Amino acid sequence: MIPVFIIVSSLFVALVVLVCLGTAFVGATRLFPMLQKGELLFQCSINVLTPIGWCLWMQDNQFESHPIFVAGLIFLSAGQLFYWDVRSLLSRGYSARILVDLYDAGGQVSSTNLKNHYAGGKGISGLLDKRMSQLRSAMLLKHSSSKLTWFGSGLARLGRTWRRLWAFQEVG
Amino acid sequence: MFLGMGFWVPVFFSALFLVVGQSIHWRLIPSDSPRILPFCLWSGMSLLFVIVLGTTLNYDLAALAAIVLVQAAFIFWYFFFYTGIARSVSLTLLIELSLGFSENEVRQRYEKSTRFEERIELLANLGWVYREDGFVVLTPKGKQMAKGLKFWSHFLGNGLKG
Repeated sequence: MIPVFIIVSSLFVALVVLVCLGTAFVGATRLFPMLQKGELLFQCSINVLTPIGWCLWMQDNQFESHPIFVAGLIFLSAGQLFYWDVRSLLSRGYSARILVDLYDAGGQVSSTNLKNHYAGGKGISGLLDKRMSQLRSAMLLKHSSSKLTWFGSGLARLGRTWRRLWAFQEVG
Repeated sequence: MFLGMGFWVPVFFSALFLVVGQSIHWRLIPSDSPRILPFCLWSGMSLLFVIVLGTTLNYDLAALAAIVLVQAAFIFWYFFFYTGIARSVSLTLLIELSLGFSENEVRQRYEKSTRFEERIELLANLGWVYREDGFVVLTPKGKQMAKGLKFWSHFLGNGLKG
């Protein structure tokens, strides 16, 4: 029987492998820009293959009927979500970008200039252009109008409910 | 693969405890911060509950480790939901559009809103910036954070585009 420590460690190894593969692919896209088109497919694939690989390893060691097998899968899925969340923050984080703008401008900027030159000069309208475009790409907003798709409506309703439930005062 | 109630009941109650506790906390004392410390306290209490229950029911070490893993998953999910629900600009735009505003109206409302200033306040509360005579100034801690963000955003992705 494999020690519990080895099983738990294998989960962290799986997450590290996921991060390394994702990072390596990003590096590859810099050398071969044509690979950027396949980035979403690649990232989804490694998110599916990582837990499959771990499941196969656990099954080889005959652990599939134990709670730690199910818990391990739950932990891996949550860890993957966390990784995507961190990547999203490091790619699109609003507050994070404000901090970087301030740093690039020498550490001191007037509030008005900081707002007008958000994201290297794009401003808030640039932020909104990008977000609207991403909502359309994600099929949450119809391409030819301001109407939400059924998926976008559902997500909006869910988000509204959660924000009300948790009584968030200042939101994105 | 799917186990009996002996495993899922404590996990369920742990999740309920965490969600209800955190939700009550948010509603009683609304705040803008992610409340990491209270969340860790709630997690700790629910973990203690399941460990005591598990020990009483003679769970083996692997089963107890499984419960800890699920608790850790709750923590990851919490941060995912918090950043996604509280901080997401895209979600705000989606919600505004779902309320019947046109795209132009949503853009105008967003640009006129105080959300940018609220983000500055958030950064100031974290000690990364401070305001002085109409200027926003980076603190040494904020400078380190900005450098770290720039490095990691290029390492893990294609840079912080905003």
